[in-house]
Order: sequence, then C-alpha cells, then structure tokens
Amino acid sequence: MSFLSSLGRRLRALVRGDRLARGLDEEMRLHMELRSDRLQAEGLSPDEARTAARRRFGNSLRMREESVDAWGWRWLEQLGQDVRFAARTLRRSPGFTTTVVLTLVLATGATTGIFSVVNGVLLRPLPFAAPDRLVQIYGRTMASDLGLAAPDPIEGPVGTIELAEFDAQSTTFEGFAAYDLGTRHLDGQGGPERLTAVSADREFFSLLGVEPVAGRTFLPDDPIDVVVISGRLWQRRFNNDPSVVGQTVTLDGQPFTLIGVMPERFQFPYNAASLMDGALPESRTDVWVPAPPLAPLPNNVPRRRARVTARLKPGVRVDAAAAELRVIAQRVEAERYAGTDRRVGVRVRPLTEEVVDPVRRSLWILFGAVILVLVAACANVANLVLARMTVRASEIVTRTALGAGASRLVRQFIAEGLMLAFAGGAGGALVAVWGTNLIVTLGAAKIPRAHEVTLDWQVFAVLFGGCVVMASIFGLVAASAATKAGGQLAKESGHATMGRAYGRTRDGLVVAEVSLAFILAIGAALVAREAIRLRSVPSGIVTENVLTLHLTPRTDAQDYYAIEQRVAALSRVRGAGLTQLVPLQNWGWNADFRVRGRALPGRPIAGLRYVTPGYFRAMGIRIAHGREFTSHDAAGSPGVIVVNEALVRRYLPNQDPIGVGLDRGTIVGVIGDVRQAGLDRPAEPEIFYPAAQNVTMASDIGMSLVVRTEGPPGAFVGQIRNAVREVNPRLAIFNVKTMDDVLADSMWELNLYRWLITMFATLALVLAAIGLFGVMSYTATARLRECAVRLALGANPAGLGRLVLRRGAWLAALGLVLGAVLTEQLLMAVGSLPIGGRPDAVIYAAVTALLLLLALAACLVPAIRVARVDPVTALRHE
Amino acid sequence: MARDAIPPGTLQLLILRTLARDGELHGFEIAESIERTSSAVLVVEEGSLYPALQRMLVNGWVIAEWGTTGGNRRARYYQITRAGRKQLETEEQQYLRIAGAIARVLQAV
Repeated sequence: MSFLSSLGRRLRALVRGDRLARGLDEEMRLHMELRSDRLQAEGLSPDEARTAARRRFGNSLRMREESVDAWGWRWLEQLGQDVRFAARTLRRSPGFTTTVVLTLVLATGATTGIFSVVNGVLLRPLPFAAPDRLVQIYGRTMASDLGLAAPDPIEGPVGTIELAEFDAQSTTFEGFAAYDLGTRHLDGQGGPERLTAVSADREFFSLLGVEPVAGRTFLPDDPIDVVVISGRLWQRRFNNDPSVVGQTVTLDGQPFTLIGVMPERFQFPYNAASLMDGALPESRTDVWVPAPPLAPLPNNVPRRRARVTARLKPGVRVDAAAAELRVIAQRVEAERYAGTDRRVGVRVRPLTEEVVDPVRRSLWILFGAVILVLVAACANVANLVLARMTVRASEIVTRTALGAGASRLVRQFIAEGLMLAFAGGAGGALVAVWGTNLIVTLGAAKIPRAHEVTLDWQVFAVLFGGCVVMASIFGLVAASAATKAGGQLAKESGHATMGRAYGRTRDGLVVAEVSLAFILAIGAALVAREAIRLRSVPSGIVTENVLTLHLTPRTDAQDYYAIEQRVAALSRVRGAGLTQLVPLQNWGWNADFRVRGRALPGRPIAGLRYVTPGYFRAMGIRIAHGREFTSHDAAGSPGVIVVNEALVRRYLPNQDPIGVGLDRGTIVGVIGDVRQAGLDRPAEPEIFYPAAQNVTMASDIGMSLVVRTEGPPGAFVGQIRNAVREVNPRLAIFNVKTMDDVLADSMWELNLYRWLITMFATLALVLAAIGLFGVMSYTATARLRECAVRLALGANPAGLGRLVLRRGAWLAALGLVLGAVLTEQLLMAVGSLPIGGRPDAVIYAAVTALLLLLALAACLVPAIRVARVDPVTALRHE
Repeated sequence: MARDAIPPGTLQLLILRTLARDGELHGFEIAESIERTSSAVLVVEEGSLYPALQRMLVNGWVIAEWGTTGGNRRARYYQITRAGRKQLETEEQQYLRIAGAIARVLQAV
C-alpha cells in the first residue's frame, strides 16, 4: 500500500519533473540568500556573506542531483540524455543513418506487405463455417469428352444427372450446392448495370454457413424470383439502406424481390473471372438468385452442368468421399449412359485448394524472395554497425578515460540502435500499408481473396520487435567489445585491433549479401526475359489507337450493324466493328464442329466468335485467304464462316480451305492467328460467324465495339457514345479501354511479379554494393599507413589500388559462386518457376557480369583513395 | 564556540522532530531551528537538508506547499504528515535506545 502511494507520488513527480527541479533551484537559492542576509546583518560584507553562505550550504549541484535522485527517476533522465546523445551522433553520420534506416524501412515494409498478402490469401481459413469440410466437385470437361487431351482432365462442371445421384446415394456428404455464373442487368437510373450473377441451389448459403448483414438468405420453399445482393452492390446502388430488403428490383426486365444483403467480404465463387474464362472484367460476385431445381431430364441428355460445392460430414476424409462418388459415378455411367460414348468422371478437392491454388506457388515464391531481401538487409545493417564500431573505437577510448561507465556505454549504444529501429519501423509501417494496398489493387481482379487481405500488424510487430532486439544485441556486443578493445587501443594507439576482431564476420556478411543479390537478380532476369519474349510475340492484332467499349444489354443484329456503320462514318475513325470476345480480355466459348462429307480424327473443337463485318479491319487482323464478312452475309443468305489459320493447320492441312463446308457454315475466308487468351498462349482454332446470321447464339454478355481511330482514341468516347445512343438509347457503354490497356491488363500477373521481383533484386544489389563499399573502405583506411610506407619506399600507386580491387573482386567472386550454388539448389527445391522457366548460360553470364561490375564500382573509390594517398599526410595523421 | 556536525543518519530525525514541534517551516527555517534548539552546537551542512526533504516527500512523511515568507519571498513550506509522525516516533525510540546503550557503555567503569 505504502509502496503504491509512494509510486503514485513518484509518478506525479515524474509528470511535474521540470517544475520539481526548478522549484528546488528556487528553494536552494532562497536559502543561500537568507543565510547571506543574516550574515550581513551580523556584520560581514556582502561578498564575504555570499561566500560564507555558499560554504555553509555545501555543494549545491550535488545536493540538487541527490534531491532529484530521491524520486528515483534518474535513469529516465539519463535515458533522455542517451537518446539526445544518440540523435546527435546519428545526425553527425547521415550516410550511415540514412542507409540503415532506409534498409530497415524497405525490408520490414516489403516483408510485412508480402506476408500480409500471403496470410490473407493462403493461410487464413476461408470465411465460411468449418471451411475444412467444404469441397469442390468436378466432372469431366467438354474438351476431354471431345478427345482432345489424354489423360482426361476432370476439372469441369458436373452433369445434373450425376449430381442428383450423388445427392441421393452418397453417405459421406452433408449436402451439395450447385451454382452457375452468368450476368444479369440491373435496371435503374443512369441505365442498366451489368452484374456478375450466381444462380445457386437454395441450400447454397446454409451449406457455406454464412449469414446476411440484412434480411435473410434463401429458404427451401423460396420462389425463383428472389435475390440476395452483395454488400458492395448494396453500398453502390442502395446507399446501405436496410429498407431495400423486401423491395422489388428489376433484373433483365424481370421483377425480383430483394430478400437479403451479404457482408462486404462475402464472395462466392471466388475465382468468378477465371470460371467465366476471362469473360468477366472482375472476379467479385454481385447477386445470387435461386436456380431452377435439379430435374433429371427424361431422355438422359445432360442438358445442364453446374459447378458444385459440397460439405463433407464431420470426420470424413476427402479421399474417402471421392472414392464413394467414383463408385456412384461408375454406376451412373453404366446405367444411364449405356450405349453412348458419354463417360462420367468425378474428382473431389478441398475448396481452399480450388480457391487459392492458382496463386499459391507464385505467392510463396514472392514471399521467399522478400525473405531473401530481409536476410540481405539484416546482413547489411550488421555490417554497417560493425564498421561503425571500428571507426568509433577512439571515441570510446576517450569517453572511457573521461569516466563513462561500461553500463552507460552499453545504454548509449542500445539507445542508438533503438532509435534506428524505431525510425526504420515507423517508415516500414508506411511502406507496408502502401505496398499491401498496391498489391491488392493491382491483383484485385486476379488474385483470389484479394479483397480479404488486410495489413498484418502481427507480422509487423514481430519484425519490428526483431529490429529492437537486434538493436539491443548489437548495442551489447558492440559496447562490450568496444570497452574491451578500448583498453588495448589506449595502449597500442592504432585501430587495427577491432578491425581484426570483426574483419572475418564482415567479409562473411558481404559474401552472403552478394550471393543473395545474385539469386534475386537471376529471378528478375528470368521475368525480364519472359517480358521481352512476350513483347516480340506476334499477337495477330494491332493495338495502337484502338478503343474497345462494351455494350450492354444485348440487342438485335440490326442495331449492332447500324452502330458499326454510324461509328465508322465518324470523322477520323478508320474502322469499327463488334465482337463478343475482345482478344486478350475474353476467351473460351468452345464448341465442336464437323466437316461435311468427311470424318476428322477425334472430335474437333473450336472457339466460336460472333463479329460484325468491320471487326477484322478495326482490330488490324490480317486476312490470309478469301474474304471478310460483308453486310450481304445477312440472316436470310447462306451461312458463311471465317476460320483462323490455326484451325486450317490442325484440321484442314494441305488443301484450299475456301469453300469447305462445315456444319457451322461454309468457309469464305481465313484470318491470321490472334492470341485471344493471352500473349503466352498460342492461338487455338477459331470459327467466326457474322453476327447477323447467328445473333441468338451470341453470348448474353453482350458485345464489344472496337474502334480504330486516327490519333489517341480517348478523345472519341463522347462521339461514339452519341452514335450508340442514336441507334438504341437503351444501350449502356462501359469498360471503355484502349486496346493497349487491354494488352497491359492481360500481362498483369507478369507485370506484378516483374515489378516486385525487380524491386527486390535492385534492393539486394544496392545492399550488396553498400556492404562491399563499406568493407573495402574500412580495409583501405586500415591499410592507409602501410600503403603510405610502401609508397614512400617506391611502390607503384596503381598496384596498391589494384590490391584493394583484387580483394573486393575476391569477396564478390566468393559471393557469386555461393549464389550460383544456392540458385541451383533453390531451383531444384522449387521445381519449375511459374514464370520465366530455367535460367540459361546467358542469364547466368549477364547477372554475373552485372554483379562484378557493381562490385568493382563499389571498390573503386576505396582503391583510388589508397592509390592517391600522400605518404607524408598519412604518416603524420598517424 | 564549538560546532559539531550532526551524527550520520540523524538528520531525518531532526527534521521530523523540528517540523512536529514548529508546524510549517521552509528549508532555511528548519536549519535555523535545528541550530537554535541545539544551542548552536549542531550544525547542518545546510544543503543536505534538501535531498533529505525530497526523500521524505517521496515516503509521504512530509508534504510541501509553496507560500510567502515574512520578507515577501516565495518559499516552499514543509509540514509533517500522520505517517511522518509515526516515523518520527519509531526513529526517536530507536535513537534513544541506541544513545542510551552507548551512554551506558561509556559510563560503565
């Protein structure tokens, strides 16, 4: 109790610390003045009185210190001194301070940022109830049905017949929920808005175990015209107004009752964009509507296929469940599909894998890269701190001689370290926040769960704590070594002693830094090589000065043709056309075809494209043979198609394809290959229809207008919008992008990794250079005297410079060898890289040359210093 | 006039006793009071009053308040607390016990 009240008084004193000290001074001054007055009254002269009073008072400074000590806050006061002292010292060596702080900022910031992404995407469980029991079920894909690939991949949707049997017969599952993706248009002020819509079984939400933030989710007896909306849509269109629940909204012209709102974070399915094969601009889902109930079709034709997520019963293993489903699938194949070539396959996979597998390896490799940077940063900081200790030996000797206690020295070193750690940590937090946001923004559409990523403060705390501990340890080690060495130094008065103590450590650190920089530089070179390769790949289109605009909702062919003509007639427009799938943005949409009167091996498939006549010209696609479409290829005239060269090569080689009749029309032209799905994916066979002859087949995602302009296309948006409105005022325009942007977006993954890995590699290279420079500068300083003597004895200055260079090159070479060995080991451990393949001799040679150059540059200044040393000055300096 | 430095460890006792007797005093008055009551035999190294007073403040034996002297100067006045009086009693008894014992030793023949 009395301890507590005493502590309370102490704390109050601490808070009023300044006033306490000032009060003491005043009290003591008063005392001496009163005493002096009294003595003067007794007859002393004023001077004598003041001296006597001071004598009787004693040592006022000591008294004051003792008085302050009484409160027990001396250590804090000293800490304040230490911090101020540290700040002064650090300010005096701005190069050291800036380098260490920047290193810490970038290393902690980058590591926290990347790990936040890894944690949010890969490590945290999916935000559903018992997510480990959720699995994804796959059926045989269409492509494998068509005999294109062997062994058949089972990674597509599941047929409804099998699904009904699974549901009825399986004992290992709690339930199945089928869903499909599509688009719907929400009517409202400002025109219709295209939404990513999921039509799902009514058990969908309860199976996932998620709750709405307003209203409710589906009930088993809900009619088909109810809708649950996403938190984002709620915010965007309904201003977070809870009263919209129960209101009617219009989707594709049909009234739906809005029954609930999901939380902002909720998203299902996750990789909506990739499920639509690039047909969706982003991966977030907006609305969920009940799917029509599963009704087994009478003629055994699997008309509907669906994506299926299911929940295992507690304790059931995934492979056990898969085995059961395979048995059921075989039975279905034998009983329901007897006599057809239809085969049933089934595969079960944990939902988490389904969601994050596409990015798992890439993210871990990035994480590995950032850890390498962190290690290099630690090595560099250690190196710099050791170098500084060496330089400060004489200062320590002086201070010890002046009576600085060992504990006080340690405290000062720790204070210095802590200041660096805090500055680095504060900056690191900023970098982490900024970096995480950047990655999330860049990857929003492509990295699954990107919207769930938040900055991981725990990781930051760990890293920051690491910095603090490291700083303290350095303080201790450095101070103890310094005090020990200080004694010797005082005797020897040279500064080689501490150098010898740390020399080996520092050499080792530099070698490690060089090897880490080597590894990261190899990674950066691989990604850069891939980027260069892709830039030289013929895309089949001309992207300059092309604007793409998505038109929604779908309308009739007459409108599309009218829009094409009206836009093409605008001044300074070179051409216009419509397509339902913009290259490098949307793909998929495959179907089989047959050549009339001929059997092709296997069952050929091709991508189906619906275009208007001006499309090929507007996109800059080469016509290889025959003709493009014209306005005469209309609904009533004979069915015609254009195919690409890939189709001709694969299915119609060694013949004139023009005039060949397919079941989908007669070939009238052949166009050059276009890389539709991505620059890194070769063109697949494609069949183009004139939209007029097949508009009902065109996808419900609407069509995109492609306009080739003279000059920057951005200026044409207004005119084009007007032209479209004149034809059909109901049509909305969105997703306006230049083709150059579409191209850049298609390379987002490569660009993201290129950007990050290049940054990491640059950082590691700079760190290695700084490390080398530090070590060589120190060596140069330490050997200055020796060199001076040698010069005085007639040594060649250039030879002395070469001595330094040789030593730097030797360290760098050690680092390079170690780096090469580690790179090979890492590649062996990782297998293949997701981007860039294996490093070849060219890459090894280029990176080695780069690092050697950098090493020589780093050693050049110290070498020149040695070579130019003036013997007289150097010897006198000693 | 012979002046003796006060025996070590007794400064606190003297201050507490002075404050208990005279009420509110500032530092100079405490020094004067000790000197006067000891008939100018006991001399305090006057500055050492202040660390002692601070220690006693920390322990809660005295409290301090700023006031004005007769000569219209600002001074800090110290006052003994209840805890201070208890401490005074303890220290006084302890001192008397020791002093008595020493006296007995010295007087023994």
